[in-house]
Amino acid sequence: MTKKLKMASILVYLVFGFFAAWWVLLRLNKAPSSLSGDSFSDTYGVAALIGGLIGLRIAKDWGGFKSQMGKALSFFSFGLLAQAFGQLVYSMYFFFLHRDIPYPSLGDIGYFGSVLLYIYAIYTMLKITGAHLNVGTIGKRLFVLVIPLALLVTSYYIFLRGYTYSSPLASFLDFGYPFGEAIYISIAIITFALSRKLLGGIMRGRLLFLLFALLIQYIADFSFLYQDSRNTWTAGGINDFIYLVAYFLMGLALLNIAGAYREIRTGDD
Amino acid sequence: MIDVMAEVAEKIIREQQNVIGPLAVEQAKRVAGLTIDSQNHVSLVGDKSAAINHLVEQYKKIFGQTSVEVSKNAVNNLVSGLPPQQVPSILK
Repeated sequence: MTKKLKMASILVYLVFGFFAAWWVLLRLNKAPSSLSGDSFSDTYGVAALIGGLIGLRIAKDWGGFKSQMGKALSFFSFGLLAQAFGQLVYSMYFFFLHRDIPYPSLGDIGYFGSVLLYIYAIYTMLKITGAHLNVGTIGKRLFVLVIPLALLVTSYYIFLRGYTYSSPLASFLDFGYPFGEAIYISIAIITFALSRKLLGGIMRGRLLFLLFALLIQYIADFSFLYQDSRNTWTAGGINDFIYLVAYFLMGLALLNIAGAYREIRTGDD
Repeated sequence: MIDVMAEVAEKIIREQQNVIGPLAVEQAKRVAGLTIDSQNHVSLVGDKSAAINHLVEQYKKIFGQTSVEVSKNAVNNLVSGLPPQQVPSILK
């Protein structure tokens, strides 16, 4: 492992350790008043920021936008940065403007943007894993159709049944968030199912770990929408912790891929 | 005269470059009997079929069977015109 990679790993673990310890103190009601749930909620996005910046550097090694691996890693990193941007905007409302966050707000450019970025990233990953070469049978083609349809319908029933129209932009986002998230996780499931027998070599474990990190991201996004729609979301609550774990795992997944790059170059497999 | 086997190797490398970027050329340079110039033009010496097998094996270390399928897919048109005994075993 190179020195820079080691330093980046230490940073990712340290940031996660710090915020995880803070969250545990909050749960135990042992956190000092300066470390409130609101402050936690408005700052742990730094984990996404760090992961995103590290990811962009790793993507450059893989050829940046000139290769599919570089493109996928770049867009996963942009997804993390978009999440960090969304949180930064929300923090500005809380810390500097001292007012409730409007919906939609500038923060939604980051949060909804991250959904679109993840869709593109995982679609590129699908092509890398060769999943698109493995749709020969009718059963597999049906699977590719049924999974997104099932998730879209489920999302509709959970989040949008009985929906009442508000404004064009708010309605677009009200549909866009659950449907967009259903799309990226559908592509991830299809990628896993269709590539698991083909995918091997040094990258197999690394790419599967990246898919796992995306699954945790989906659980975070889903649970946020669920809690928000039932008015049960709280700052510094379980949903914020799942997001923190998702950013941490995505950062680790990107670092693992950087490790694989070194292994391939040195021929040490 | 066009060396079809060199063309096959070149196409495989280009396809892998599309997936893994500059690593593809680095890996190709490790294959015995295969040389690649600064414009990524390939020339093969000795057992050309073995060199292509070795090239694909090199990529197989990275993504497993996926790399083999991607390579096969990339050279399908070129290989279909070759006599079966000339087709590198890994591409059959």
